[in-house]
Amino acid sequence: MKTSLRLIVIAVLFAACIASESLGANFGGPVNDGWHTWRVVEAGGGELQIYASIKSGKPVQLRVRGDSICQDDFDVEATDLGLVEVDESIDWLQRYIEPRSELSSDALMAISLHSGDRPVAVLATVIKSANDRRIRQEALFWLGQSDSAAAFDVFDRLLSGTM
Amino acid sequence: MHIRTKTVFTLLTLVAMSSSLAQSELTEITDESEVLKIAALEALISAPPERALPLVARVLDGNSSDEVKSRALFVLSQIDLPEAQARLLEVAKSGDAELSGEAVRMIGIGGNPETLTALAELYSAGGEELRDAVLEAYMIAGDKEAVYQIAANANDAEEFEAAVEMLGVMGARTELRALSESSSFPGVLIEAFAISGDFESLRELALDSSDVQRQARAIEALGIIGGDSVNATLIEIYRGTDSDDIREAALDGMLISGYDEGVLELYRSSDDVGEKRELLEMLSVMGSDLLLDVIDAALAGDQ
Repeated sequence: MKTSLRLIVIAVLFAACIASESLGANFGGPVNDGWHTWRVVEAGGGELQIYASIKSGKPVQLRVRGDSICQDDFDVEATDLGLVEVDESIDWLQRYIEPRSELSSDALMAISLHSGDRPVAVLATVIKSANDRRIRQEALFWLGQSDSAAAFDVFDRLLSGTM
Repeated sequence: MHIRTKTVFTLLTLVAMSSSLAQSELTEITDESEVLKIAALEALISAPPERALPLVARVLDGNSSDEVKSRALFVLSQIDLPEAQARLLEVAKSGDAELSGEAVRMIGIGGNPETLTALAELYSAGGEELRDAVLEAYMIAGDKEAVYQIAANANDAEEFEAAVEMLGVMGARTELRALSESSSFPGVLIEAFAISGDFESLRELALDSSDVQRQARAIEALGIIGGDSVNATLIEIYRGTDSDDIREAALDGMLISGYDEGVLELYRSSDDVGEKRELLEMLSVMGSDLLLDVIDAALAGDQ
């Protein structure tokens, strides 16, 4: 009885731990003022750490750290929001691409570093329909950094005039 | 996705640079699809080369405008693959009026030694425009030896002059000196010496009185180089000659170099009224403030 009780406690704690690691569907992005950080799976399989500084409820700065990118001089204390689904992280970042602001470039870069097919799809959409020409060009730059066949398919369609 | 550089700042700088450059150039192109194609090509510069190459090649094969194809050629020049170089050379040889010259220049920008060597054949077979493009490509690549070979083996004076002028622009003093030893076209060499900043060679010609016409041309060309050594040489030549032509050339050299202090010095040391008048006229032509000093001194009865 004592052993099974201990097992139940361990199971509950483990479940709680998993839940805090994966905010998943509940991730709405940081809201309170100050630095916040969350992790996603990075393209290439590593972990991408995203930092957002919130002021008056709105993001004012974005920073990214990962296997393929580093910002040596960046060091802040941040509220850890844990591991987040790629789609949800991208959904949040995507809101800050347009209209053009200081966040636009960083948002595009951060999105491009997420794993899976979604970054290419988002960048392709930006290239196709963003109103700001410079944002479209930056999206093209980050798309050009991709190794994925999908990214080069976008380039191919763009250059052949079929996009 | 894979970022080949580990430093985000480098990437951001690249983005900023390419964007600002592209922005300024692309504002002139009104067709939005053309703008996007060009931006896509520019983005491919930093893409993995083996991925970028087939896309760029397809643009060159397709129906895009010459503007887009020109950008594709530039991207091609930045792709460090033998296939990219071969493709550039192919376009250079294509005979396409718009694109072949551009491809040649891009070969210069790329600076691949083998492809640059292949341009020599193109130079021999090409028309004037293509030959100019080849010279330009060699200049961009800094290939002095290739331009020297063209000058040394030139078929006519025009071809020789074009190559020598390019050597001057490239600052190819050694090559120009070598040509001066064997050339029968010294005139253009004098200007090239000046443009290349070769004071020693020009000074030698400027002091050599065996050919007065050539000497005068060299003295004037010294003015293009300018500076203290030139100024001292011009004064030395002026004072050391009995020839009016050479004195006039020395004054012209001072005019070109803007050495009004030298002219004033000559004026003050001269006892010849006619010469003094000439020197005053020169100060006037130079628009020199020193002329006022002379007038003030004359009014004060010093001169």
